[in-house]
Amino acid sequence: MSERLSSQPRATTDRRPSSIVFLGHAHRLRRRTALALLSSLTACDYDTDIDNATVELNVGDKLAAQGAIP
Amino acid sequence: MTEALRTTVAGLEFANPVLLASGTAGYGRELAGVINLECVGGFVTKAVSPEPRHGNAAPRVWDFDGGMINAVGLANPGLDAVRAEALPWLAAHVKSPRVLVNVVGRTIEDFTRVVAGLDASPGFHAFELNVSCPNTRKGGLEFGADPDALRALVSDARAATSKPLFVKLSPTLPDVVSTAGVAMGAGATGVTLFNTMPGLVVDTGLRRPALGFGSGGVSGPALLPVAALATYRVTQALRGIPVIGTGGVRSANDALQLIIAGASLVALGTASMADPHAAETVVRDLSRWCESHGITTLADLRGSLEWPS
Repeated sequence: MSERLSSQPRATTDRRPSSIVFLGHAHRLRRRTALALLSSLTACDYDTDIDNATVELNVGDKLAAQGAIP
Repeated sequence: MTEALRTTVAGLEFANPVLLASGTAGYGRELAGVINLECVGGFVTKAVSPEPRHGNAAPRVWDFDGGMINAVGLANPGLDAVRAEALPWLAAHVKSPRVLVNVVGRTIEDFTRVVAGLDASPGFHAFELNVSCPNTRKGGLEFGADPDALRALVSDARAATSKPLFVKLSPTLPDVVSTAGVAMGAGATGVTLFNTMPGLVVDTGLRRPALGFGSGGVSGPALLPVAALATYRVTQALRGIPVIGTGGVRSANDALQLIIAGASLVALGTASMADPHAAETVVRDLSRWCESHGITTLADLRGSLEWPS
């Protein structure tokens, strides 16, 4: 993973994306929405398990590949 | 919304025939603030097993050009937590949508235990039995692929509840009409066609499966024709059987295909993962389609497919 989501409070240096690609290369969802959908599928609470969400979504790889991280 | 979309199935009135399939709506509260649940006709909860299940190793979800594959492993908080927390939330927050609770288990007794344990709780209206699980007492054969086990499972569940019981079948069944007949004969209210299709996505760089579990369930647009054909065959052979058509629905036209083939209700799965508002869009477009085509009730469309002679 070239970039990981963080459960830490957002700061000015935070590079978390506000949107992420999820299940379909053309789809870009708000981060919160994507995690809600993932939670619907897996019954996990990603507010407390954000690293696992990163793995589940393969977020880092996709974002890196598509240059989505500012 | 047009009155034409109102659909009554097994005594339950749905504002429209569009559902969210199990695994795409959690237990409702996961989607609160993300979509307006009141727009859909109903939704099927994530699975409930007697005990909590953590599910499979990650990654459990993977997308590919044709759709997605998942091997979540039926992760869920278990019967007690669903009864104590999820169902009360549903009772307090969900008004119009009809809620179906999806039930899983490794033995027939597991299914019966969940059904009996939730039956008196508020917040839901029907059960959906996921019989695609392997029967651990029969060496891993799916309940749905074993007529005797399926008959016993549905019969026992029926004895534990008076609520509608839908049985969710696998697309790999050699004779879906026969299996649906067994389920109905044992007391099912209807069937859900289909669950996901077993599959494998390979990570070529690693030469390993993309999913942590290895194989998974494939879903997405290609399953729509599979569900449509099965829906047609089952509803032709078993007249009056309520079918929840599930598989690859992304648009109102897709939903109409299943309804014309004979489905009473239509559930969205993968489409809702890619676009959480997909179901709302399908409901809106169905309503417009009915208005523009002079359809006053979906009953006029249901099962109206004219097969070539």
